[in-house]
Amino acid sequence: MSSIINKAVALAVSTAMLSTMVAPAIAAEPVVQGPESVQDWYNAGQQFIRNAEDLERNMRKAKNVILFVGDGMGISTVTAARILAGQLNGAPGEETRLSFEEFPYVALSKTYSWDQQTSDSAPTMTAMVTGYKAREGMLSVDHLTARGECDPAVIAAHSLPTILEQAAAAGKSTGIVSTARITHATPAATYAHISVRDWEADSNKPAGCGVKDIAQQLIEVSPAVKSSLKVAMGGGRTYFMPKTMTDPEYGSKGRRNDGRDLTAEWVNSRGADAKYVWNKTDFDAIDPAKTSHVLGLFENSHLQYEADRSADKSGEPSLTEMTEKSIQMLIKNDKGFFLHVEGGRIDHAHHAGNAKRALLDAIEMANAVKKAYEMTSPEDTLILVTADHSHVFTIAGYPHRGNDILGLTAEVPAVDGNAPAPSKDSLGLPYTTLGYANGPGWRDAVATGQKRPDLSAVDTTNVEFLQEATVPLGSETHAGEDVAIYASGPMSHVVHGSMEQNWIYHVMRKALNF
Amino acid sequence: MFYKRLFPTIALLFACAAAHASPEPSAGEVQYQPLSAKYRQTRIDIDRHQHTADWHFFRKAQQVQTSSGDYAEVWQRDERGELTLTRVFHQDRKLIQYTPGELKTQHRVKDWGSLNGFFDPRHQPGLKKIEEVAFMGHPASRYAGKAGRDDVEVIWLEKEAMLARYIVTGRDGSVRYELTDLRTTPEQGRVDDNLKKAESYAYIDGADLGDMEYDPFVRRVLGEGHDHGSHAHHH
Repeated sequence: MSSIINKAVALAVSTAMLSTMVAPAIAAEPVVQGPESVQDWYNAGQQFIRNAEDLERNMRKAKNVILFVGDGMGISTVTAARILAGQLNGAPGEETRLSFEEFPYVALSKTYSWDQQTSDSAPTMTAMVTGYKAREGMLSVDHLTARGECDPAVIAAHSLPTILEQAAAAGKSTGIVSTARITHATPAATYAHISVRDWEADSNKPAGCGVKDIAQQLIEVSPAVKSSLKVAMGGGRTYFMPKTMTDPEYGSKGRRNDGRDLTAEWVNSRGADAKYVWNKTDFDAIDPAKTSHVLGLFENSHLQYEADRSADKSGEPSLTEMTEKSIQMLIKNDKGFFLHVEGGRIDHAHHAGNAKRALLDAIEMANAVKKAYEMTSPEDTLILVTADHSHVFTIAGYPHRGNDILGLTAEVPAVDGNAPAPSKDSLGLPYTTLGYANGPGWRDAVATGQKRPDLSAVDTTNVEFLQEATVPLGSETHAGEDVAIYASGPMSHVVHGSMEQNWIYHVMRKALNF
Repeated sequence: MFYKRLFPTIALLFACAAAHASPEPSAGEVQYQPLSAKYRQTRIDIDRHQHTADWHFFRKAQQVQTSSGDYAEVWQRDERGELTLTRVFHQDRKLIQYTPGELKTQHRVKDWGSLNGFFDPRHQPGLKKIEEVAFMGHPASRYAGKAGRDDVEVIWLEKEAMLARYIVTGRDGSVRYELTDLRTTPEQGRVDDNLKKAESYAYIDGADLGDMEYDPFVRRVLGEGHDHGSHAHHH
């Protein structure tokens, strides 16, 4: 049956091509051209089918699981990042595939939480690592937990075990890597149980609040996690330092009122081969073979955006480098490992309405996924790549193939041979392909006598350009549409169709056979 | 509404020729002498109602502070010329800090020279020097011109590189800043203690505001318009 359809399609295509050759309807070559031949499209489709037919369900138990989360990396971000990645390599861009887009299985993830239509990172990551949807701003506690709950006994009663804790209990090594603070909502949901995500240091808690702050929870985890958590790398150094200590990079003071130096406590409580590092030089010097546990805190708050990282005062590793070092540390355990890696700053750049920084961080996360895939085997390592939520980030207009994704929109010309035509709005003004439905990129053009700003002479590809926003808000917001889940490795075929976000945990648990 | 629109012009744009990236310190750079100043702000809204407030300005090597009421902004520059901004909300006992990377990301980077002058008319293409005058016994220059559709008049103290008067008048009213006190040997601790006072305040990274809209304080700051909004110009 399929061969009949194929023959019919092939005949139709060849007939169309023949008629074009006999009676050309165009006077000139199109100025905008993709690099593909006519046959390339068909061949690629056929190759896709052969690859799909060759897919075998990997029913093995996963030895290792790596959960990548691009914070705020909605589907429009993935699309724009792939185009930018291609264009940075001199290609038109649209045909580019980010590393994780090569994974065989993809599903959609519904990101609402127990009480939010559009969620923040706390309940969404809680859903992914515990299997339960939860409340706004809360980390790995169930949805019956009261907002601002301070009683440690109540929090303990409502705590939800995380996949990291379960991996630790099973004797696996574990790790957490983020470009945000390691106490920030997404990484913290893997090890902390708390009713307010902002209680990252004791100074953030209200007076008399008995629950441990998030930094303290990282240091004082259960004996199983203490032994298993070999790697914790990201930002947030001052949340681990007492106010009497001075930050080695910036000279600012620590944020802890309790006088504790949690970086020293990490080293002292993890054995003779444990290390704490805070700059690139010390990071590079870590010998995974001779190091049992490493706490790396490379900024006093979040790490630099990838766009700014090379200019960092003391140097800091990239997400790819941290991922590589982590796997080198974790892979020593014959029982396997669980690793969570977060591209945490995609979200922050989007909140600022700064698309280029968000996309460069998304590309860097794709690089980290590539490194992880190369260092492990799909035979025994389940890799999931997803996002906690989306952003109100759009790819608009009808830009021609290869149009600069950060540029002003220019369309395929109506007449072949003509140059691409700049797209204009109903006021006759150009607009960018990328934009936001709300946020700080809104311009008060009305006050200057214009209805919209004229971007004709503006370099919209500049890394400091803020894309236009329709609704003026001090900070651009998350979005409520589904995000994607990309999967490779054991039981990855379970990732399919439309999924609730908390089912991601169940996929990992099934793969690990817990 | 007019005030809300003008506020960024004064509190933020005021100090900005924002097109400039944060400059590297250089041998030929202007050395700004330490000083403190006080301004009387008079705002007349569309209904002809008059509102007044006092603004304090303080500068010393690598630091500029402005404050009014319980709100202050502290700009600091490190040895590499990188700027950080700390916004202090004394009544709320909170501070918001923007790293150099976050300032760039949010398009908040200011020109160090303009920051040091509170508002430097020499960096404003819409303003022209009209005449030389005297102000409080100091040699000064008067500038006038347009900022968008608004009329702007500025008196600038040449020697001190400091604003003496700023008047912006639009269809909906006007805002005037007038220097009322100037000390070139500033009383330490009188106006420059915002950071010291804020040592015990709750810290918020400026990058985190977007993830904290459930916090009433953050929602208020984001909603007040002077966090971002109309200063997001496309330079």
